Amino acid sequence: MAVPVVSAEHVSKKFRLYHERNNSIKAAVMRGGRNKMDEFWALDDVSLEVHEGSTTGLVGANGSGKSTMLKCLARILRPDKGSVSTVGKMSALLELGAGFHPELTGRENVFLNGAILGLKQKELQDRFDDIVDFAGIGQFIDEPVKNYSSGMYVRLGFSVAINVEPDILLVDEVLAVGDEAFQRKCLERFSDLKYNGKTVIIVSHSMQSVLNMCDHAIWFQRGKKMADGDPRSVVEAYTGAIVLDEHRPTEKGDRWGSGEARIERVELLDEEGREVTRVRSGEPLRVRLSYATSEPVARPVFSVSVQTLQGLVVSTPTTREADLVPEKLDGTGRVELSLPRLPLLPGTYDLTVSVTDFTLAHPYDVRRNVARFDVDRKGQTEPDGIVSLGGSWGFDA
Amino acid sequence: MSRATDESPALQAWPAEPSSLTTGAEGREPAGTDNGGRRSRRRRTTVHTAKPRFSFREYGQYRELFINLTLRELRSKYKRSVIGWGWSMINPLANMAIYTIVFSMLFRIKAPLGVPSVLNSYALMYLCGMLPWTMWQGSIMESMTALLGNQNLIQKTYFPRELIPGATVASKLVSHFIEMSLLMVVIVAVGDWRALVYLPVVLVTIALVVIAALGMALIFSLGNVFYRDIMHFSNILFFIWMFLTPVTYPWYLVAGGLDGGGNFQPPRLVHLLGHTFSLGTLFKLNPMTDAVLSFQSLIYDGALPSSQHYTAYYPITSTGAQGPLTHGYVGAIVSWGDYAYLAAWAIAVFVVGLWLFRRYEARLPEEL
Ligand SMILES: Nc1ncnc2c1ncn2[C@@H]1O[C@H](COP(=O)(O)OP(=O)(O)OP(=O)(O)O)[C@@H](O)[C@H]1O
Ligand SMILES: [Mg+2]
Repeated sequence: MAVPVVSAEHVSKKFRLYHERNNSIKAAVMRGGRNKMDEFWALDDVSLEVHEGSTTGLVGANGSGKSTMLKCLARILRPDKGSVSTVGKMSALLELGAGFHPELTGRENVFLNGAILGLKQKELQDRFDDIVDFAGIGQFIDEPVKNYSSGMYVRLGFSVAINVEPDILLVDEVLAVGDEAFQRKCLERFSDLKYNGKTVIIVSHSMQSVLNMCDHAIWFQRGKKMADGDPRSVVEAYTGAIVLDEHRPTEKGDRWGSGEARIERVELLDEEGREVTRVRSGEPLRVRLSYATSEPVARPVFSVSVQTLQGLVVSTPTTREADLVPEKLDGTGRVELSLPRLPLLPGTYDLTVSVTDFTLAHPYDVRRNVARFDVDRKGQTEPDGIVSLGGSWGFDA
Repeated sequence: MSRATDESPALQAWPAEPSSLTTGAEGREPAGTDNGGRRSRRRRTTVHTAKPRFSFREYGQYRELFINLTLRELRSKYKRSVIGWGWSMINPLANMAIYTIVFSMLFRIKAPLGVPSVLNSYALMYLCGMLPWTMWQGSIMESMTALLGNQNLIQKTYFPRELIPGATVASKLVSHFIEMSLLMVVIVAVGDWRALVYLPVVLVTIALVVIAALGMALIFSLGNVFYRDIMHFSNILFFIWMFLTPVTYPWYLVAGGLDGGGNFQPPRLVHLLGHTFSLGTLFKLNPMTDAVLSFQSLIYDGALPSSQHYTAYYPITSTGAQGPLTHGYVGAIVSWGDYAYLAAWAIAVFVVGLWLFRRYEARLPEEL
């Protein structure tokens, strides 16, 4: 059995939440010497192992403890219980940028960070050009980093973090700030690292990149580890949980709007008019919305938005492009969107429906993720993707 | 409820381990032969638990960082100023001029007579105490700012946090060396060569002050993160403390002795709780008094501090003529006992400071 290069055993981390935080002795004295505070466990008995050469993705909702875990691994936060052990040189690029001193220039910061990571002045000098090249920030290297754009900041931070040849690289969600070209360069670097047997741990909210890059994923929820293992199953468990969460019949949260017109019911119907939650790719589907108004509304627009579980919007047809906007809508009634050949490829999709004013800016009623349906394969389908473009192939010899 | 799986099926599917890793269960520092042919690197196992660090071994690998931080402190201080480093000379000289005018000319306080150097200058006496005092106070005050100012580094990277106050103190020490060297040059030029002979003792005394300053810097910079009042309070504290230390006035005004006019001043007495104390004894409770007196004795008087107890001397009269042989206390008096007190205090402050810092440093990233 392989030896893990990063292992956390029963790690718990608590934060103190000060209500009415006041860092003064007077405040402390008035409270009787004690800060009035609550404790909050951001990590609760988490154990994990990461093996050499693997790329591990940490996924989970906002505030679930991913960044806290990464900081414990990077030795920035000390766990309140448990222990973390790591083998080899670790370099980390944590959320909201690198450990730069805003007043120092990029160059000075590179040397400072290099020293923190334990490099000798000489070694850094040798790598300096590589670092600047990779960051691609040109003559800005001699500007104070407080004048950098957030993308430049991250570029330089990432460039330092990977050019010091770490054995373990920790990256928290920062790459999303970089532009397309930089993200691509980063992905290449990640695969280089992987090829060279280095270990990478990333936090990401993009399930697509977790699936593409990682060979191991861990799902956190409210400070606990929920699942650990193969990325596909972990991501599915995670996204599945989001969907379950959002499908609880709650009126709040997933629904908002001023309420003059309301969508009371959403039905997915097949050819014969039966209500369904499962359809086949390429078959007909109708989406029927039942509405009711509390007062007459002028020129309302209905829309149906189809999304993947990862939140990618596939399409949002509205009654406006269809030129089907009544001057005035009053009472109750139904609107129907009919799709003769559903172009979606197999997978699970969510519907968000809304009724708004003509500008689409003022919502009367929006119901997010109000219905979920599965698309099954029918005959031969394309191996990958979200929609079928249709079309036909032909050789031209 | 929890679907946690410690042993996932995917674990076995991972790529075979590269050969470099040979760690046993408790193995430390396995040899690594990675980097595609680069020299092999030793890889350290680091264990990070709830307990504070109490090892000193890791300092070795952070030497480079310490130098970098110290240089940064030195450079950033006079960034964007025209006179730049000149300020580090102008400030003490301006202070010297002000105090000389106020104390020496307005209040007509006579400078002490240096024995055996025969120096008779308020300004030089002032500098002998003021330069170490400035280092002491500056180290502590600026450490507080430095720890707050390096928030970003502390929250995003790991290194022993005490390096930040440490680097501030080191940068102060560097400036102090420069100032002291210049003072030495002046002293040797206008006064006595003996100051050079006692240079090793001067260095030991500087070391004691630095050790104490480091301890205080650790305590104050840490405390200030939790209670920001400490910074404001310190301004007052050090102002009062300086006046309770014979920096701006000669020691004979407190404990008696020979003034520059050749007159013997009696020791001051205080009546407290039905007892009578000499004011000098009370002042000596403050270890910085011993430190400052040692500097004055070594540099200004040109004598070992302990040799100054009770001496036979020829008083110089106000006309500059030499009077008859007299016995009495002269100079800045620091007995070996006082010196040991200073040393013990410095070490105690340092140990307590380091212990407190390491005990609570883990909370810095959260509290900053
Ligand atoms: N310094 C702190 N003091 C108090 N609470 C904190 C502190 N840092 C984090 N927390 C809390 O700990 C919890 C976990 O935060 P963490 O940053 O680890 O979440 P995350 O999973 O990284 O979320 P995101 O996806 O938004 O980055 C949050 O509820 C957060 O409010
Ligand atoms: Mg985060």
